[in-house]
Amino acid sequence: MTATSVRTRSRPWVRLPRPDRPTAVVWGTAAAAWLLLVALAVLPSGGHAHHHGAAGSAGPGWWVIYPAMVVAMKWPLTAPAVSLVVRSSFRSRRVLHATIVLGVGTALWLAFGAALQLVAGTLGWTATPAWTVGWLGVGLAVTWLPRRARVLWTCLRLPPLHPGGARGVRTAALAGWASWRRCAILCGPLMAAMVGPHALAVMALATAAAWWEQWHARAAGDPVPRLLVAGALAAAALGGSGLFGAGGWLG
Amino acid sequence: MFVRTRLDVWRLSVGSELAAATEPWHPVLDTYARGVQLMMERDNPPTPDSWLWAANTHGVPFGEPTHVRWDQCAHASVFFLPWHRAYLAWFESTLITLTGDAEWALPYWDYARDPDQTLTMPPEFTVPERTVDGQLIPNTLFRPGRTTILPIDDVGYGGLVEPRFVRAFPRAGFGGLDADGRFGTLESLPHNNVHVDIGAEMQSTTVAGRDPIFWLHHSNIDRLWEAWLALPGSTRLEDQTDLPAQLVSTWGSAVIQFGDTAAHPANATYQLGQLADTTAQPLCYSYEDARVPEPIAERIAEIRATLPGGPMGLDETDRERWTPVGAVADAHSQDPTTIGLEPLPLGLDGAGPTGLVIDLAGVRAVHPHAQYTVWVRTAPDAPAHAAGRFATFGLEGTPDDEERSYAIDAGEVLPILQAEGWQGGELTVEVLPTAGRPDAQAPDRGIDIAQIVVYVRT
Repeated sequence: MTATSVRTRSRPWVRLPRPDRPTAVVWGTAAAAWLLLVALAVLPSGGHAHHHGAAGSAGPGWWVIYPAMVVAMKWPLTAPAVSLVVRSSFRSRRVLHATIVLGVGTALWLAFGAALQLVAGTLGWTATPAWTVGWLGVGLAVTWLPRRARVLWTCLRLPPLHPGGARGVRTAALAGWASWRRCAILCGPLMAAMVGPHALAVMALATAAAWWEQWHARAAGDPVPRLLVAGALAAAALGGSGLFGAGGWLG
Repeated sequence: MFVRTRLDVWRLSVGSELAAATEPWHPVLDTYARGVQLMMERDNPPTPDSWLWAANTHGVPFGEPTHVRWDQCAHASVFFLPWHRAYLAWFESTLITLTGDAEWALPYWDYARDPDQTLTMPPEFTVPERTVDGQLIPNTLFRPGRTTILPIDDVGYGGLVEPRFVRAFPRAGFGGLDADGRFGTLESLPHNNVHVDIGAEMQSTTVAGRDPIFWLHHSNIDRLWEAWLALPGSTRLEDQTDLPAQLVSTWGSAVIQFGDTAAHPANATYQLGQLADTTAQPLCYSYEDARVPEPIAERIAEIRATLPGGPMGLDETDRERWTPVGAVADAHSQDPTTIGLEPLPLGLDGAGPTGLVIDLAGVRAVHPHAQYTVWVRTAPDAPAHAAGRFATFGLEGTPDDEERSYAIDAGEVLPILQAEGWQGGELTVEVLPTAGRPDAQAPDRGIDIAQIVVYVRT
């Protein structure tokens, strides 16, 4: 087999490697969260924003919707870290360590959202689409930062992962923190936007932007995430709630 | 489309230091020296076509001002090989533009070709001055403080045995692992070894690019990538079916940018897909000889035939068959560590482990030895067996909290351990400076290891 023949050998057009078990569990749970959110969005009571609550008013519905959003949007971004932590753990510690990675990241996002709610409430900001539009605007602006791609791919590395014991718990928690930190850099403004009312389509576009960047971590200058965030911003500006939003705050 | 040929530097060399200092050089090396001079003349302040800008693109000394497109070298990553391929191509194009020699191609240093000769750095790089047009001038290819003879054990073809470009952690593929932070087999041998063997600026990632020999070393590493591709059974990342989809996506979409964020003629952008074929645009080069010598190629084929999964190393469940069985935290070189192990998992056929990796993670050092050997014993008083070696390229000259991790494939000693009756229980690991090296007895050097983890494969 010559070098030339290796280079020119044909490949299947689509290849879908079988995900490992941790990845499948994470994605499966995220998919279930999406189904829940879609179901809530099409409920006649007003959908996504109604249960969401407004920025500055974290009602009971917010504590259902927002965690579901975190699972739906963020857990897939944590899947690579979970996979590596599981492979680095004693068999008897795999479930525990995976739970810690996901738990730490989820808790941090919940704290992030709750903190924003608290700030908004303290400052008297109430739910307007301007909250969502504003944060999406910030999210769009940061896609132009020259160092963004560098920061994102350097943050992919995890600290040394211990397979068990107290140190294993600590390193799994550090992995959850490192994964959350990268996630926060990737789409902190987008998650801040999610705290406010928005149509599910806005969330879907913002999610697509974050996932796209995760899966194209070294694609410097890639316009796709920027377009997706811009699309989310446009959808948010149209206002409304539910699946795609109906009517708008402008009219 | 004109395809340039990268030539073996020793076939271009005048052969001796006396000749290098007094006689005209081969045009390729003369152009290289002139090009380096032209790049250096643009260093104050650095511009995208200057020597310092090129070197700083690889690494920047700690504490010095940096730039968004500097300090971007890819190490301990599957992007190590393609990033350096693009880096060399960019450097080459800059030098071609400045010298006006459109046919010039960066030579390579095939240190292993003829050990009696080629282990030694060519004299064009070791003489401080050379004669041009009858005048003695400083030699821009010379850098002080280097070691100019490489140990033969450090430049072998062992890094080319692994048939798959990527392996699942903790096992190293030719190009890397499916998780960043560990070295692929070629990056370990000979790349890291040659860096620490030469020493001086080459020993640190932050300034290695300032040494003109750096570029010939990496030209050879790139050539060895081509040589590996030509070996039966070698499988490119694009052709593997056992990788996480996200890794495949990240690889295929990668973009590498050099130069400035502001417009400059020397700026360049490479898509990863453009780096697969060196003879196509925008690379347009080939190697004078990109083959593994026949006896070595035959030996590699023999070894590959014995690998789990056959000559192509096909084992799509590999990721799920490695498991950690013991670990210890806060170790130090030269201090033997006995690690208690969990019961070794058995294969479906009841057989013992078929693979053994000693993972040294979170290694830090202020002044490391250049190279360490990992020794394993089935008990503290049992015979020691060398499991593998690693060079500490990247630790010297970097911030004290800079970390590296090394996954040592101890598969070759596993049968020896099993023959001694090892069935688990414990394993004693000792990390010692490799014997016979200039710094092996240096008392003020060492590494701290955050954790040592023993992995086995069923």
